[in-house]
Amino acid sequence: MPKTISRIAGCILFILITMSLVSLFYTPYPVHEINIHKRLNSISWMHWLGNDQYGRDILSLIMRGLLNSISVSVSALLLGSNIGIILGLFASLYAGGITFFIRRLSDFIFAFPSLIIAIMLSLWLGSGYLNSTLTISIFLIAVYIRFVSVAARNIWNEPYIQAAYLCGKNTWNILYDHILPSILPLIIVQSITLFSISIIIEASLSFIGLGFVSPQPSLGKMLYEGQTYFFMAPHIIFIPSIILGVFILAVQICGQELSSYFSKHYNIRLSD
Amino acid sequence: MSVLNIKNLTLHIGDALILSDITMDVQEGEAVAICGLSGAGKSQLARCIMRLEPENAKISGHISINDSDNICQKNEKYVCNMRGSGVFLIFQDAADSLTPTKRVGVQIRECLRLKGITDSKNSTLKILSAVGLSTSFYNRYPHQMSGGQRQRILVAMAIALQPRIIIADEPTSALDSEQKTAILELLHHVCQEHNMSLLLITHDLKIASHYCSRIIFIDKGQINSIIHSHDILNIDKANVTPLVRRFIACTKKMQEGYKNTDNIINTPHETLPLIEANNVTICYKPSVLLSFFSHNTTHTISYEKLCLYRGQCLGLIGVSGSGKTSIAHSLLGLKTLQNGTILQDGVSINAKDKRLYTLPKQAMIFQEPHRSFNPLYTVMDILKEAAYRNRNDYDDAQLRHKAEQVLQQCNIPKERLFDNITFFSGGEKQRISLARALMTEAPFIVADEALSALDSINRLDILELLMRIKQKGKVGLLFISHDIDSIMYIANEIAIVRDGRIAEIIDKKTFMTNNKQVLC
Repeated sequence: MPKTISRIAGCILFILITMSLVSLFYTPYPVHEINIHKRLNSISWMHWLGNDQYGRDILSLIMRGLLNSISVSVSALLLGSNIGIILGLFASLYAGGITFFIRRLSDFIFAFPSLIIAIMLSLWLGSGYLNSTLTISIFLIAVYIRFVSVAARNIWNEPYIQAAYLCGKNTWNILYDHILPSILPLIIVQSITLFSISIIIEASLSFIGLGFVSPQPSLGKMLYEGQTYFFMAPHIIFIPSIILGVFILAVQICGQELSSYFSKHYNIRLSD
Repeated sequence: MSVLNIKNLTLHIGDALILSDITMDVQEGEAVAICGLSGAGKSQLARCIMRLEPENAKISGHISINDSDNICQKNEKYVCNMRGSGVFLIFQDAADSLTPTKRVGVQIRECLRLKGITDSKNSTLKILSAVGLSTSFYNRYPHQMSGGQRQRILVAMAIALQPRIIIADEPTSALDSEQKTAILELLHHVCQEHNMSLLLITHDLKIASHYCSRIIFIDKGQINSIIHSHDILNIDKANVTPLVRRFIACTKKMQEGYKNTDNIINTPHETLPLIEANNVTICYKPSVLLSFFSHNTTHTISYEKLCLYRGQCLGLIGVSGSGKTSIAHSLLGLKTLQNGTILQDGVSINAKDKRLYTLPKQAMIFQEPHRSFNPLYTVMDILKEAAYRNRNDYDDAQLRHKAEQVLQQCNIPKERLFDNITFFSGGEKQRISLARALMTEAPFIVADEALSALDSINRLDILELLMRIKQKGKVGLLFISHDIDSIMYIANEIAIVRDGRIAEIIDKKTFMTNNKQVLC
């Protein structure tokens, strides 16, 4: 991939994340301010990205909505990666009943498309910030278990692990000194891909009404609510979807760039 | 008429100069050897001739095969026609160069089809018998064959393609000595029969002088000297460069290894053996699913008695797949024993205990230098890990001092202490592996084919180093190899392994009085 594309992607990612963080202290207009006179107004100097069906400022909504999406994804990622990595390492270590159970559990979750799992879980847990986080993280746990256990298993079979045993290290020392550093680049690269996937899942959940509860804005919910007004005011639906698409693309490109960096500098072959 | 003509070939990979100003030629029907230390650029030269150099390489100069145009400046399509029909490359390990999912017969047939011969099944069988394989091999997959048989398949492909020149890049380094001679004889015979030239890359002077009319020595990417002689070992030493002199000297020394009488004395200093094994059995059981599909897949390794004293070396010799490595692993406590006991200094070792870290000190030099180190580690990290048991005895400065000492013992410059392990060549890695073993201060060192990746000069260096360590009397050495010369050089006793059991243990005195053929 040309360097310029990855640089542009990095800049876009930086701008979008900064925008969403700024929304904590400042938005051009209050996020929940309803102004019925400006209903469905198009792009103007007053409102850079126009107004939605309640006359709310779309720029402010997107800033806060992006923040909501990112915070759900990041917390789901933190929860999912921590539990998933621990269970995955455990599954690579012991061949026993518990390992069998862990693996079959992740296989079970894998058997369904991720969105179906998310819908099933959120129907069970209900909607809202915490529940969508939990829903996404349960899916992520399965993914982490799968790839961490496979990657770690490969490294356990290397002769240098035997050499480390002969040097007097025990299993935990080896886990900390050899296994974790070796799979860390893989975990980082995969986490970035999974971050973009969880943004998509979060948007999809909000789109079908299982994500954030009103009045909390979210990009997926803006798409859902805007679809009624598609012919009257297409910008309501176009702008959030462009932002969502660009954000996910930028994340993916940065992930690829990082992956090629790791494979160049650390001599580690990463999957895909 | 020259088949291969190279003029002023220069190769850069990244910023490093790999080959500089190579000028050489190979005449029709001639066999030429390229000799050099590991890392001298021998394999890169072979890859250049095939135009298979890595992506970040810059190549300049003139290479022509069979009076063709300069292939350094031709596009991929032209070079592709040249590969196979003009020049054929046999790699070190045939397992890497055969497609694992296709039957070997089909792969040879593919070569025939490229050559434009349509009726290929019969011709393939003919070629198979020409390389000494029965027709049943037609339907085998590469993994169902031994290393020697796979190498034969590559020769068969060469016969199918009828190239003008065969380049063989250390074709025998992965084979045991019996197969080694057979493959080289076959290659020699095929080349003479079909009037092909042979470019043999090797670091074994004996092989080079036996099969080739000219030997080209390469040192640090440059041609050091070219010698026209079949009788290189008795050449006048005044006329040759220091590199050639070193090569000749060490080849002679290795040949006379079995006359070496330093290791003939067989009197243990102590009554308590370092390692004592009695009636050991190890089982390899296949998984339930696999045993359902194929019968009789349980492999057993067993041996009755094995004893090793400090200051002594036990050599394990046997063909590949006979169970040498498994025996070593059991002695190191890396395998669970079915029954029997292994004692080190009177303390039992068994992997069943699951408390490997409480084991007595042991160290191992592994077979594959590329997999025996964590690619993320620097040399210092590796040596630090080796000193893990003694971590409380040294502070950082002492540790570094000791690491530098050990590295110098193993001929690695101490300036490279903080280099990443991936920057070292195979031979250097093997020496670092030895440094790691020394760093552990272990009384029991297992060297598992430790010399197979080394050139003959490095091989002798390492052997002499191991010898010195052994003679200090603190270390017992288990030396696994399929190379009789090096085992004879170092071992006091030789155990012959056949089909998973130790057939007999001979001491060196008996061996010297008997014929060499007793071993194989």
